[in-house]
Amino acid sequence: MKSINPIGIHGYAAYVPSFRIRTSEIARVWKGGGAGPNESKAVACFDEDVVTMSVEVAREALGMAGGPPIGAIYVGTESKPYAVKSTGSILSDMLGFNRSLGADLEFACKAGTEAMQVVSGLVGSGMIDYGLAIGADTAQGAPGDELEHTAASGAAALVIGRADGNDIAEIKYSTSYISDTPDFWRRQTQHFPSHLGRFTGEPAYFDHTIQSSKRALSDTGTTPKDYRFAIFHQPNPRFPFDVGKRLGFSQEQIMPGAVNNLIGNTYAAGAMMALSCTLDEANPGDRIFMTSFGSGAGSDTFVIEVKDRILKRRLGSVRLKERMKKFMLIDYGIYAKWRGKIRE
Amino acid sequence: MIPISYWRNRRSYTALMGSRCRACGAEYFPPVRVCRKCKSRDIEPREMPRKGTLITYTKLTEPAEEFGKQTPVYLGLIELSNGVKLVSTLADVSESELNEGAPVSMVIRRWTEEGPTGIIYYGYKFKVDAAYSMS
Ligand SMILES: [Zn+2]
Repeated sequence: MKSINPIGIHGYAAYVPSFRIRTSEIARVWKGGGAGPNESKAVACFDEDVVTMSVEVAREALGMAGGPPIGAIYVGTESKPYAVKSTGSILSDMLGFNRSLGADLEFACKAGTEAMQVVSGLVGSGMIDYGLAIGADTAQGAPGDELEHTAASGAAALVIGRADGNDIAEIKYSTSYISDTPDFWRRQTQHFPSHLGRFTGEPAYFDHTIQSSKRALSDTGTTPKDYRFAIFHQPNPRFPFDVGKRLGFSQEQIMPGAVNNLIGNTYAAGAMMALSCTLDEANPGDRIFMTSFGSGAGSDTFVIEVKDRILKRRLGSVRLKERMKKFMLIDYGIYAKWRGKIRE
Repeated sequence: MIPISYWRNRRSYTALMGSRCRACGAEYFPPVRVCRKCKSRDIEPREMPRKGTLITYTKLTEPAEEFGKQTPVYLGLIELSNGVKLVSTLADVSESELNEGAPVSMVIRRWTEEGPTGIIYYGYKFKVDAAYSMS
């Protein structure tokens, strides 16, 4: 995808709620023992949702960007608090940007990177100067379902504007690959999603991630060795490393963004949160290869080049992986009460 | 809570919009129409700082019904960095951190909602800074 103006990231932020539940605790309740594929997952508090987590990351990303005027707020999510009422509308008031486009996007776990592409398009065409792309979810699996181990909560935001020398990283390239693949879905009015177990790996996650990634490598004439970092969506701790290996990326390239083992799958925030962790460690000149995945299914790939400004802009902010070390453990009873698993 | 009055005051609830007396510089939250110090009516809107310290707190184990699953509710007396004091619900509480003088910051959280079909009320709460609790 080509744009008229070069596109840059001016600020980034990610948020993980303070609470964790161990998957061994979930397995204790439903199976009498064992654990999930990951050690623990992040759980939003009873008073948190996509709006509250989005404000948190939006403010922080805007702070890093130096508070530019925002012309668009796009939120990718599958757990918006209102079925009808744009999260963007609520954020516009809380953030004070009423002269703004603002809408919600849904594409399972890739809704956040979808927001990145929409805002990039608006900036790239010159319709707006700066926009906010947010991925946020309070994801839920049905009680006792295997998804309950990984379905987690979190948010991430990027302030996207022109690559004008003030940006901390340039989005050099982007592409997508989507198809009608019924690996995971949720019907209108249903609280919990459904999934076709055997579909989630090969025809869904791996095929779309690989198709989109290969197209990006071929279009840009690059190979995995040209990148210092690689990011792939993390539905569990293993998949990003497996798909990376098949594409020729090493563990070391993927490790900086890997957070699933401790916080689970943050859905629409997932790939953007991994980008946040990676930008925390990146140096000017580093190249980042990033492919998201959303069920349904599709993948978005981005090629990002880190610029000098990152060193200055990042000063004073605490790395996400550092912040994640502070948490409070909760048991299944509290988790069920908070996340609406007990219905009156 | 009443939807219309919430909507009118939403900038106070979600951006800590208070007021400042142009005559003597006194700042207020919630906003006032007449300065309590100098009686001036020359008042302008002013966003309060989002940082402050905890003075004291109380724990409500049987709060009003609308708090529902938010029980127990922790109410904190906060002194903002501009000296303005306010009472706020505390978020993500770990009781051992609720010490006098603990640095706190404003966050936006759900206050209540008008049942499963009604409006969701968002507003400020205060949370002990992560850096304080990690040290
Ligand atoms: Zn006065």
